[in-house]
Amino acid sequence: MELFLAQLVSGLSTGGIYALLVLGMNLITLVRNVVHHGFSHTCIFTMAVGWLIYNETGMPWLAFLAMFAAGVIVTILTEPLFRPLSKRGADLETIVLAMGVGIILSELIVNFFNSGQVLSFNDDMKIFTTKFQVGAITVSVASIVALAACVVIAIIISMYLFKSSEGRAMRAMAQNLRVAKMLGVPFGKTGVLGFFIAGLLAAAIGVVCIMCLGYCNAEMGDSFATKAVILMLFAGQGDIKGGILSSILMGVVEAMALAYLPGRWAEAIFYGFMMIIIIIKPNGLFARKAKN
Amino acid sequence: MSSGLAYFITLVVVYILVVWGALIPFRAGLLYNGTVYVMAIGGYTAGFLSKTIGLNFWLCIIAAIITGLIFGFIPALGFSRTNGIVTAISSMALIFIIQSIIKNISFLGGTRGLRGIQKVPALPWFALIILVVFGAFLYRLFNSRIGRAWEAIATDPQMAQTLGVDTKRMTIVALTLSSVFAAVGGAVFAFNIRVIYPGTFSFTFLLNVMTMLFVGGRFTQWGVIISAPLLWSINVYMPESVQKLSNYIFAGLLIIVLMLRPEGLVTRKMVLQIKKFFTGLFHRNTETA
Repeated sequence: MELFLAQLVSGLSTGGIYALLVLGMNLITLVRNVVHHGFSHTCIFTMAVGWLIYNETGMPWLAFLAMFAAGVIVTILTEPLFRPLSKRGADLETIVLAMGVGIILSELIVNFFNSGQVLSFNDDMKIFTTKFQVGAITVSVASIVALAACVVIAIIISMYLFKSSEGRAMRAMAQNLRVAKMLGVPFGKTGVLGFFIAGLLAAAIGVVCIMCLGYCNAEMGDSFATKAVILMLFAGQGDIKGGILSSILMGVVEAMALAYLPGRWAEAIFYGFMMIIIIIKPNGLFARKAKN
Repeated sequence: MSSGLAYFITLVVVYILVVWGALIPFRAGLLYNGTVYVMAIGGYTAGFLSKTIGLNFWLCIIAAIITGLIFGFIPALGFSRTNGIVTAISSMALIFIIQSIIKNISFLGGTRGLRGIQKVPALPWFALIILVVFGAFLYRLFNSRIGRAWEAIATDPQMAQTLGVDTKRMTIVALTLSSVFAAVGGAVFAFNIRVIYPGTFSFTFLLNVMTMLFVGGRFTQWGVIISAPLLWSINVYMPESVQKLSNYIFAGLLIIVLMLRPEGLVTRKMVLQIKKFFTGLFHRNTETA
């Protein structure tokens, strides 16, 4: 029972990270109809930048600022790459292009940060290091703070998307690009805005990952990316609420698999389960009608 | 033939086979990333049989074809229900599944890798024979009834269905045949490097395959024959400082080609013109008449 509760808490915080990743990719999907496979690599890249700045200066707040700057710069720089493909309506090619972006980012991490070794973060960067006892289980404050931060960020972004006029413009572009353009939604500006918010989100995910995991390396980008992209399809592309719910669910399932299954089967079970669900329901778990 | 050149030629043949494996689903309008997964299965089958039973090269290739058929057919059944992005992404998951399964199977060597695969002295020549046979098969396939059905599906699935093409069955056929190509590629690969790790069949490998496919041109089977040796020679014959940058070059080329030249180096128009030129040489009189 103690193991179960401990795994539940850690599963919820990993699920929170997945939820934010899926949210960021959904934002990009809304504005450009792109499955941004390289978004997770951007998050890991911001973490690496934060690590470098902290090691150079020793000031955690400067490092966090640099992370946000790096996130925004990287995502905005990738936006023009997707533009011609998005105009051409080439969906499949965008995945491959995003994979290329992801590989470039992880190569940068391998070559320029700590010569490819695991980057582990100092306690100053982790902020919350205390742990406390509830009954028989140990709960770290960081995972609770991370979960709370995920909830708050998700609520803020959903509010933005559903209440503000810019958010409405983004959703209109996802519904029908041609009609949205005709009604005066600026194609370029809205896209850049979506990528800007996604960049801020990438850095926020980086901060949460530093708090929860405390380390990062280039391979994490690949596994995060595939998990997040699959989770996005699992809930249905562009479905924000479904994405958050299913990510948290899958975080818990993965934590349970890690605790109760022998060997390193957790990954295989995670991916296998998701693939079967996606194949049974290709339009997403929460889809009501088929998207052409 | 020097050993370096033999290694290079065999590896290029492997890449061409795997890229052809990725090209077949593309004909049917699908982006299938499961080729690397089947490649791992083919490679491990051939390597295991060669190591334990001591089967010779051609029997190992036949075994790889059979396992490729089986393990390509099972996911193909599922992917016949999906399309577009869903197929592309969920087939990517197959790579992670097979990696994690191989890591957990002890008789395949786990993370330490499968060692002790027999040396085949005439490997490059065998590889070239396989390349010619499979290339001819692919050429006939693309110009057959099935090939035309795939093209119809890629152009417009609904129209194809109205015209009487069984899209589901055609998708299954495409993915299974693509798996056979990839499995043979994997088997040759295993004989070439002779030590295979689960990590070999990774995401970077997929990126190499995709770069060769897109840079060469994904509408004809001939593009990759030019792009694979060119791109791989960056990793072998360029100076050390350039080799270090090969992943950047691959990804950068992929992005540039996708943005600026969507059809790739060898386009359909180019192939048609070359065909016209050659038929013009042989039938000059009939054309002027």
